[in-house]
Amino acid sequence: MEDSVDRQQDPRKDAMPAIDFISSILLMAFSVGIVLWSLRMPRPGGWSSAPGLIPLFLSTCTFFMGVGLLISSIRNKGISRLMTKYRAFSLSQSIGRIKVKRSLWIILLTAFYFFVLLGRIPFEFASFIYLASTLHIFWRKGGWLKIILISALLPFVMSALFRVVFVVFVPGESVFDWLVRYLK
Amino acid sequence: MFSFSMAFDPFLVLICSTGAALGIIWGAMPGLSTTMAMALLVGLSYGMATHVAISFMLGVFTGSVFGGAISATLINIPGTPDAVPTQLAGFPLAKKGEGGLVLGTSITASMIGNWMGILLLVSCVPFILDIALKFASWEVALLALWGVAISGTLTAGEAPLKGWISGWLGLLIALVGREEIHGYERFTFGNRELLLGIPYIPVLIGLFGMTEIFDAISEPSPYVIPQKIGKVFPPFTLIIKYWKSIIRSSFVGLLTGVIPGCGANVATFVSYGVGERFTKKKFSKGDLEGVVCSEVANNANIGGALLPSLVLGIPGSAPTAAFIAALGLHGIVLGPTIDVEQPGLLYFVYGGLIVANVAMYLSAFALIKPSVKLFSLPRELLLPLVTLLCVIGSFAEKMALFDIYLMFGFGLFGYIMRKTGFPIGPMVLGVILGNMADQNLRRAMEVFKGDVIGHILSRPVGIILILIVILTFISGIYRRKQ
Repeated sequence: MEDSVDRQQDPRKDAMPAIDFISSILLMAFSVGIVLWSLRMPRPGGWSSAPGLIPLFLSTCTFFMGVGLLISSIRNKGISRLMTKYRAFSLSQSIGRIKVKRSLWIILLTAFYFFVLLGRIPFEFASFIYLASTLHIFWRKGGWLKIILISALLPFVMSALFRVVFVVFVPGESVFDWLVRYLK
Repeated sequence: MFSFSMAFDPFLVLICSTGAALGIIWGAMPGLSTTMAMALLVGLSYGMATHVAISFMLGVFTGSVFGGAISATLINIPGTPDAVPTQLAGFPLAKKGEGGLVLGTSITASMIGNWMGILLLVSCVPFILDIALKFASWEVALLALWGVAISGTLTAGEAPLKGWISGWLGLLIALVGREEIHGYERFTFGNRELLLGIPYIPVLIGLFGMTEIFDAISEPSPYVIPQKIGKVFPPFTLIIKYWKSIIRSSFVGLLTGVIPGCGANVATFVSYGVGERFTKKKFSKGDLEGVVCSEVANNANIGGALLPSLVLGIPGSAPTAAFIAALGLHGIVLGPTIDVEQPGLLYFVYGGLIVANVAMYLSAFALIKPSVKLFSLPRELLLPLVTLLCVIGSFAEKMALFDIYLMFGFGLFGYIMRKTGFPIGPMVLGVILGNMADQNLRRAMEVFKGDVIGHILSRPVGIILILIVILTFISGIYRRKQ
């Protein structure tokens, strides 16, 4: 995990103070919101057991950590780096980058699978649509026959494994639920 | 009637071994935690005979605790929360083609950890109970805060401040929902789904599983999951070399297990952090000693967590809470009178743990190659398949689509955190320990009402913990300056 952080940090270490500047502002605003919310919470048994006590303590700490991050960012020329980045920013160029394109595709496809397909159609069919589309976009080497076969078979295998062996339900109705109803 | 030798009955050995093998597979699947496996088994065990239920649950418990190390090492997604330190120390080595050695070391360390846990469980019962009983709400709350602070320090590399922010945000996330002292709804925005709080399983799967999927697929030339993992059996000298870490991590695992609520996740983070300090090494660059620290601690934690569960009826960790519930279904009430009411049960459990340990060791070596084949599939093929596991894992506990939406939200949030240099681990730990910290801190404040400072100063264990928390922050700041 940390390795992944390092993997992300190293090539663009110079951008980090600018990112930290924005993060610290958002963090301080968030903390102030939680502090105010916590102060408005009732105190039925006095301050010592008040529901807002711990959120108040944690958000106050978070606010000061945000201040620390802001100071560190300013020391590392975060504001000037942010302005430089802002002047050089172009939306069309950013979206055109292969990494951004791939990120957007996977996020959108996953969101479609979770929010639109799951729970509305049987798990196996929803997963077939998701797998076929993601594999078609990202696994070019696979070939359409392999993609169709994997996308069709795997959700059935997983559904059977979890429903029958682990007795775990899958989201939406499973084809195996239909089968059980039919056999009854 | 129970006895030690009964645990070695061939049928029960078979049941226990099956449980260990299934536990390893379960634990290896991202997001399918030991807690979930044990929780699912509570209902299932009702139809089993008591001996069979205990043997099977001990097998699954032992197997799934190790299983998390497989996916943590090979695909950089911890199967269980406690495998995060193994992931930190093991994945960099796996990328260099030493995945087999990491897994072999994990298995051996897990086995040693289990032995140490069993030995210490049997021999140190009175001594450890004495220490654990000194922990009241105040100390438990401080321990939770320390767990988050130390994980922030050790996962954020050069920027511990970002680690602490991540951990503190995790603690705040855990406060969402109806609090248990006054029943007041906090930060729910009127959403009924949030009344019971944000469950940590979708958060864990989202932050670790979905984040990894979004991140790895977006990289056109990411790391390659090694096809060849090298030799698996670690040389004996390697284990001898790390004897100090083994003993230290065993005690950390056992002690954190004994303290109620501190499960294997706290054990591995603490053991990993303490190990780094003692050895003056940075395990996250890839180090077998880090793997040893983590795996010995989480397996020793099993014995530790069973100690208060069996003797006091207080669960040492979430999986042991499920274990207590399962025994309750069979009419067995655990507590101080256990040896009178259920003669021989303690010895049967000791025997079951020994069988589970041996079964885990043998099954794990047998399952490594298939696991490597499974996780060595092309990344573009594997990650969408892992999405399906994440979906089932998030859905399984409450069977609510809302949990899948939560997982997606946290996956996206984790992706942004990773891009902005914030570590994810402390946030997960914060979410898991948040409620424990909240309830215990408020209970302590209620007890201390009137003379807070006087009460704090009158608790030596609490003072030591406060100093440790302060030292953790100071050492983080000092490390940043260095």
